[in-house]
Amino acid sequence: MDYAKLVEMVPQEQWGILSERLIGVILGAKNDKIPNSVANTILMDMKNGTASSKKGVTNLLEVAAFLDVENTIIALGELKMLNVAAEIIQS
Amino acid sequence: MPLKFGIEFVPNVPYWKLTAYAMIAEKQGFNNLWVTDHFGNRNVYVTLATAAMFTNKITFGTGVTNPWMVNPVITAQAIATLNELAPGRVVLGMGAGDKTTLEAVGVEMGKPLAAVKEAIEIFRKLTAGENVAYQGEVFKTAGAKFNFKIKNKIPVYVGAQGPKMLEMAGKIGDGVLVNASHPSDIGFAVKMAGEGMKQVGKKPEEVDIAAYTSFSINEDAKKATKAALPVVAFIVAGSAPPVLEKHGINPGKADEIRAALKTSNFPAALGAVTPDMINAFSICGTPETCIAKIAELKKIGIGQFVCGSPIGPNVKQAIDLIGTKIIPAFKE
Repeated sequence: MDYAKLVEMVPQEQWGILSERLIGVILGAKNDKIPNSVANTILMDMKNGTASSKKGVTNLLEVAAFLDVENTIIALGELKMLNVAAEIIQS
Repeated sequence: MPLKFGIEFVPNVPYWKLTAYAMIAEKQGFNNLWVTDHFGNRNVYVTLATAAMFTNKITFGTGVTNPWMVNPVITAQAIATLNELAPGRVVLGMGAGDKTTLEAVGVEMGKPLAAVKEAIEIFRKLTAGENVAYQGEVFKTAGAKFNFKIKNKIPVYVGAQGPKMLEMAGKIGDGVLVNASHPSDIGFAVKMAGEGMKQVGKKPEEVDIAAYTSFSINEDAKKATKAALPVVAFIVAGSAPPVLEKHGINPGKADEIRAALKTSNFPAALGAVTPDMINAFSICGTPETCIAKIAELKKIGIGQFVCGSPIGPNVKQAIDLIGTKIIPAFKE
């Protein structure tokens, strides 16, 4: 799955809200087993304000889908990003 | 003075989750971050160090450590090193410790008042750059000194619940962490800490009295209450009969919860928690309910309100809710 391509399907002005929701999915996920390097990237992006950049959202989307695909799809649905949700469901 | 808001995190989640929560809390306007200290969880100082690296203005500290598990000299060293990472943003939270926890590692908890007082004295002397030769009832040092300097004074908060500890906290603390949620308990704590303050000529504004509550918030009151149940069950199980009777709770009910928890029968334990218990030992509900309850505590005289575990059924949502609805309601 090319998550960067999925993020490109979302209008840039919605990256901020998507980033917020994905952080919520990641923090709320029961599964918290992600490599330290990935976790540190998320923290650095949150600190530097780059969590809503294309690279930041791509990383968050990939991690969220890995940890809790169901809630990732729900979040995308609630944000009316149905085309992205559909791509993840089909993958 | 506007009410300060603190938040408690338990390092029972990976470092990156707690650090992310700390960043979100800072962004949402919290003033203080408190991290609990229990050997079963991640180390409090390592956790605080990581949080320090990823935040810029939030004040943080141990919520609380105790004088027994680690020698006060090493506690002072850890806090002083944290202060180097985040100058002026660090506080020490020190209380008597929990008997059950200490017994689990074979540490005897003797003379809690003296131990806390002496540990704080040693902490203050060391962080002031003194060569400490200390002859206390509990602790002795024969020339302990840091090889590095601390530029600022590090505030000390004393964790207290009983009358004597509260009085002493008012006397020697820069702040008091009162482990309670109910107005009558907070009122008692403010009174007792005030007695101690009077004895040494301190003004009320010189000591930050913090209500360290069990807190749960959600737009759905039922969800908020459900999340508070496990914490309330443990508080009730650990409370002495006079504490329960003060709140009109039958100690027999507490025995029932204790027995269920001992056998890990959580449905039975949680099922035995009554509305009276929830009201006595937590602040939970919708933002409107929480605002009213916090306002009551502010009127009694607290300077800081600490949102302790569980915070809410969904921690991030709860932090966001507190930041958008609760904190603004107390900005003067």
